[in-house]
Amino acid sequence: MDRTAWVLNETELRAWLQDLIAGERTVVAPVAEDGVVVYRPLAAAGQAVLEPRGKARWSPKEFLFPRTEALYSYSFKGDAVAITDPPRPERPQVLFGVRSCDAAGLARLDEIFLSGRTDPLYAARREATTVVTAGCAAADPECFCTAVGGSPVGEEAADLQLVPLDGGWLLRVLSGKGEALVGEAAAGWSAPPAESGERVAALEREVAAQIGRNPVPQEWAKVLEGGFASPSWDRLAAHCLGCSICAYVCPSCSCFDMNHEANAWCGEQCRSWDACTFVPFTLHASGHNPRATRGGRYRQRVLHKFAFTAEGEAHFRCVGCGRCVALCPAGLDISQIVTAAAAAIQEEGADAAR
Amino acid sequence: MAKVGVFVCHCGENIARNVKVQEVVDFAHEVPGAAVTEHYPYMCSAPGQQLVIDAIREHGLDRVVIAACSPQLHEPTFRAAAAQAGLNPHLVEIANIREHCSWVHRDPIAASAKACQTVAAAVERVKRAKPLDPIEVPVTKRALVIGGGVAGIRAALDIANSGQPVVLVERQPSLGGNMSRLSETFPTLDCSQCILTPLMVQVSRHPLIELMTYSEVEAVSGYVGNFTVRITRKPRYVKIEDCTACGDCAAACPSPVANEFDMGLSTRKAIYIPFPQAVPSTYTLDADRCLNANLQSPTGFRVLGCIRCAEVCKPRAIDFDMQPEVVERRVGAIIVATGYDLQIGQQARECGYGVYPDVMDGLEFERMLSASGPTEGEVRRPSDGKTPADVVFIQCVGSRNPKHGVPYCSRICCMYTAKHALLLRHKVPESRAFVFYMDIRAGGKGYEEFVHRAMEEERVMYIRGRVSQVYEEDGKLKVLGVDTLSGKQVEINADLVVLASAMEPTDHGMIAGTLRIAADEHGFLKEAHPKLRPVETLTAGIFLAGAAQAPKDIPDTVAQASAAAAKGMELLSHDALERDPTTASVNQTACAGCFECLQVCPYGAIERQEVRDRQGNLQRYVAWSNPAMCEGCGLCAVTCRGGFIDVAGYSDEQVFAQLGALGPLPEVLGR
Amino acid sequence: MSDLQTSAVRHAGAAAVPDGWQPQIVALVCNWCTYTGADMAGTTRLEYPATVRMVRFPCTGRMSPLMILRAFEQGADGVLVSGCHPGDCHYVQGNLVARRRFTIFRSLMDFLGIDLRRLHFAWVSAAEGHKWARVVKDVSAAVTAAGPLPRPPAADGWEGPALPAAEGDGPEEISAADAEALRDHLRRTAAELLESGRAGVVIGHRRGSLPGRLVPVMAATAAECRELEWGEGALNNLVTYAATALQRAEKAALVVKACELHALTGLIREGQVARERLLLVGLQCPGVRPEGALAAKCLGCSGAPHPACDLLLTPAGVSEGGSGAAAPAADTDDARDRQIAAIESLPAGERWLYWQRQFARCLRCYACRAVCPLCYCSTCVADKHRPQWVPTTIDARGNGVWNVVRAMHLAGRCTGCDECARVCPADIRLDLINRKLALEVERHFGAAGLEPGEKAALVDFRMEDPEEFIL
Repeated sequence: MDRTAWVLNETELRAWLQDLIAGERTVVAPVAEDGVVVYRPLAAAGQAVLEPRGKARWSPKEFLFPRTEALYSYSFKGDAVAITDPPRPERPQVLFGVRSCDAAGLARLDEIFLSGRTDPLYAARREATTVVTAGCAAADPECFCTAVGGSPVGEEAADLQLVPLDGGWLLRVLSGKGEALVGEAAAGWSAPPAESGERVAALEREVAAQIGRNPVPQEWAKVLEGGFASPSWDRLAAHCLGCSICAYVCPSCSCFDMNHEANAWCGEQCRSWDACTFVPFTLHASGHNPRATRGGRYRQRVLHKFAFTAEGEAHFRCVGCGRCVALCPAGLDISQIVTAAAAAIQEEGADAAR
Repeated sequence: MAKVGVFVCHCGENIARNVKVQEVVDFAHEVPGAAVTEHYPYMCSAPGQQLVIDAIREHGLDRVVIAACSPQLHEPTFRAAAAQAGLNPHLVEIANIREHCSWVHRDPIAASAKACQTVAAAVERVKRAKPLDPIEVPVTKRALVIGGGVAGIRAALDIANSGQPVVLVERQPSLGGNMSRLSETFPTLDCSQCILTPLMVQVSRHPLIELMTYSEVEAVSGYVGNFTVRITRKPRYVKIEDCTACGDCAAACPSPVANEFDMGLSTRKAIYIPFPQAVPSTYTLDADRCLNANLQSPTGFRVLGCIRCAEVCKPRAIDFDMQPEVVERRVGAIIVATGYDLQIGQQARECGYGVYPDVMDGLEFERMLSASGPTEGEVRRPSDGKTPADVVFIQCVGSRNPKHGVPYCSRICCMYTAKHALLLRHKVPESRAFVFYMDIRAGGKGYEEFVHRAMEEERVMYIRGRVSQVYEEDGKLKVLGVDTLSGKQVEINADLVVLASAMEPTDHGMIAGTLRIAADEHGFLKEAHPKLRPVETLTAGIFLAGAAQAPKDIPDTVAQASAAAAKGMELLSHDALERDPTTASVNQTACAGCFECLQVCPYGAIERQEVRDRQGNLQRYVAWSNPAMCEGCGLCAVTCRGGFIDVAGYSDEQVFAQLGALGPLPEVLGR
Repeated sequence: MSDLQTSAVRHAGAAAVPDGWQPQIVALVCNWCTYTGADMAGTTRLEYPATVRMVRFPCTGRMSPLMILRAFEQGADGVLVSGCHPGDCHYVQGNLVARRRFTIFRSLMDFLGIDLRRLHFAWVSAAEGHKWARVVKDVSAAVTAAGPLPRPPAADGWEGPALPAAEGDGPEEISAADAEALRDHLRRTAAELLESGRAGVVIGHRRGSLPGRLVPVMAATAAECRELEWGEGALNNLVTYAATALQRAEKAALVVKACELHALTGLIREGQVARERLLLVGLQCPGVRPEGALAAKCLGCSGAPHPACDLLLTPAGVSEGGSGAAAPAADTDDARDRQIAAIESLPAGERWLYWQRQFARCLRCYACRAVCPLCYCSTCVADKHRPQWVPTTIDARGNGVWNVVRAMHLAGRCTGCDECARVCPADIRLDLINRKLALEVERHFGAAGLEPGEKAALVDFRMEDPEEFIL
């Protein structure tokens, strides 16, 4: 029997999920809370929102890169300072039912936090995390994963993958971690039909066809970066209101700020999410702000998603989940803006050449 | 890092009895930044202060916390000590562990824990304190006196006699106020005008007093030592310098008007002099009553229907084209002496005032008693001119009557009613005087004796009780009341009824709004402290005199006027003032210009300032807090949503730091 | 209520109180009256519980609600605020303005489910040593009864209260033909305004990238005018863009719905934009549908353009407006009010859970702030670090404070455009909080402060303002 794929009906899936919850791991899955679907640790399998389409309001990155996390704590006694590490949660976790785009976002975070100088807090959590993705059977209007090199059934960063098929789920093992998570649970599960691989490929084509946006060519990375000084940024970002919805719901945004939260006796050095669209993000102590305009700030966001890449990275940091498009208060659409910016920059270049 | 010295006082046993001083000292040592911790039996004593001074010098302390009694007591002491050691006095913080701790908590553990936290919070607070220097404000050496009654006259003369110039503004055409209306004054029965008019003349002749009669203060801006006052001089239509007060104009004027100086008991002409001794001695044309006033022309007098006065005026003093004139004066101190009116309220109407001509109020009766009054001092009924035989005086008409009048006592009525009754008996010996009273309040020098004189020598009938009704029957006024001493109904057939109406501040204290000073619910201007600062207002540089502050008689009014003058002179004796530097300041770079701070500021200390770019183009308006006017209340700081206003000495950082030291402290509480 | 719910609520209530537990109460007192009154209690040797820690202020007017929050955040079980009696303020009116602030702050705390036994206000004069001792005793007793400050955990699986649906009739539907006519009027008018120079820029809506969604545009060319759109997808309150547009042009035309005009009045009153530089284009509105359903603010609205607009566009044509008619009175029969009433009917513990769960979702993306036409500070107090007004942590601590600050800063100013609630990615019912405070302001201080010349309710005061809650 194939040890790497099964088909599960809804009952089997929930039963397995319930077993996972009862086990040693914290299981995080989409949950409806006050009508919003967000990732939450499950108390019961029934809470999980596992649908063939749609996605949580924001990505599950906070379970690896928390919104706020204490890096160390300190306390004073007279002039003496005692520094302590805050307690680290050691419990392993499962991110269950995350979309392929969200998992791709985790891969982007890995590039930031695990390459070069490893971030130990992130690394510890990442090591203890098993990712179970759930592929999409349909695209939402804002989705554009295929335009940035992703797929509705992408396998990046996934340890296990669920693909909605025929009202049930195809479960595929993609890594050792995934295999370990399945463990003995697979005993009663059925083997997948022979043509399941083709069916997944067909599903991928079907969903990709629903995504109307044109692919962003890799070479635009250079074009955009070359257009750093283009006047078009100000025009394209004119309606940006300077909030950080885009960054905070984004699966791959990884910026943070450091602050002390302290009183007379003790305190913590905390890092909390921050975003390049905020004015104080680059504010210097002198009062000078190198990104003084909203165009400059939005350009940073676009370039960081589509241009600035470390050596050897051959993909965009944008994973095409489209959340920023759906939630932007001003209706800014990053995929349209990338296209418009590239066109404007190329035209400016052509003008200059003439 | 700050070097804070913490000095814990035992206050003998006062603190040490309930607060374990040694524990507080040990604990203080654990507060970050506390470099030196000491204790001493009496920190406020000379050796105690020396301890602080020596420690500052020896250890180079840059902040000091004194854990002792209330800052209300010894904050100045320890600030001075710090200053002596070269430390800015605002870097001293008091932790109150006596009044707020050892004296109110018996349990030594709880009291000590509280003392420890109070000290820690003080350390946290003082660490964020900034050195502050007193604000220097130059002083304009001129005083403004508002109101030309006896209070204003006295205050103006006192200040001018001390060598400082004074601007005296009086709304009426003449100085004198209510006192010039009075007949004789209790308890000595001096003639009111005889003692007042010489002072009026002194004012008019004083080289340092600029007298502006028939003028009103429109607006006051600025602050202590530096007020700018806008005064409107109403047109008299008579040139003061030319008028000889011959009276030909009034004789020729065809338009008679009720004479307000005589409380309407006589008539004057549209062109008039309020009373013969008026200062300035000049005629005034009452624009509302002149026949020309009704010819609606834009300038009021262009189309002239009647020019008889001008025709007869030999010095050609009449100028129909005179316009209101607005003048500005800069002054350093302001004395408010706007006086009182009598209130005609519900109770006065119930007593028949306004219904029966022979019911009059106290001031009207004063005019009748006055030798210069409408009857030349003879007592006659307004209705038929007959000499009254039985006169009823009713006290507390409106006063001490929270339901239908005012709750306060008008203070002068007991005395002037006794005077009225007595003078009536002098002038009409065959008359009978009845006084309805609630209590007799005769608390001045010679006052009680005066009332007794009225009762015993002049046989004035005093009836304790309120009057329930006054009505007319058979040409007599029936006064119904109850004698609460005998419990019997009293009914008196009176020829004349005189009401002692309540005193109320002129125009219900409207001047308070102009000056931005406080008034109570009745409009009486509020003193800074009822006992210790009775003539000052909470706005520095503005002082109170006379009945505008509270009902009072002439001696008290004059005394307060001199007191206010002394306060003003003290202020004007300085070339510059030092003000408490705990004031608000605006971060103008960040200010968004909503100006809600300006709207809440009780002192008008917030101003709009222009921000211009390098080319001089106006960019926006931002707020600025004038440190010379700001009193440091902090309303603006909380109103500012962005937190762009902070208050020195009570800064946001200090408050938050202090709050950060007040969380529960298990290790302290467990001791 | 399910078992899970009841247990969650019970958990939020009093936990086991340790033996001999004494509450910790922070007292914010004014220097002139209460501090001195407490001194007097000392001089008279009155005994009272050692539960209060005093913080001296010049005036109750100096006490920011944030300082009260900080005391709680630092672990105080209760807070007492005390100052001079009305009329006795050393600064004439400080306590009167403060009284309004505290009235609203207290209502907000109540709405958010804070146990009001923890938050007290008192007038204690310098002569009232006895009153001070009594107030401390009473407040200590109340806080003791409330128990240690609970820090309830997230209630897993708690369903929360079922709020009644917002019901009501929206504006009259606009037929397809009429909608087209209206859009054509809009495009033509905009082009004419630019051409004639009456406006250098037209702030309007154009088609966005998502179906049915219109997005803001600052149109400065005839071509851009031809792209202007109007309809149910015109969600944005364009008043938010007024100041930006005026940086680009001397005069700007602004497409406004009737519900957005109040916000503009607020901006004018607060000196942020000059009315004469704006040309208001009011359009017949079909109501907006942020997520398919008609927005709550549209229920009960006629959709007619506001008569104070300079130009009024209806399917019938374009007419000159500018009647200067006062904005319609605040609509008290609001669809949101039933939801507010439903929340108010919950026990405090459940209200607390309801809001804490929402605040726990808050990402601190500040979209509520960014989209609010009345949030225009150059640096938000939430971004200030000296001192740290609002905790930076994106968790219960920081999020609760942020949401309270935001609500307080809008109290008496919010004009109910509901943009904050629309854009909130966490679906926090900011609209209910704002509306609740607007109702409180009106209930206590009357409908005030919506006209350009008026003072906002919370910078004004009257001697006779209600104060039943003050000891």
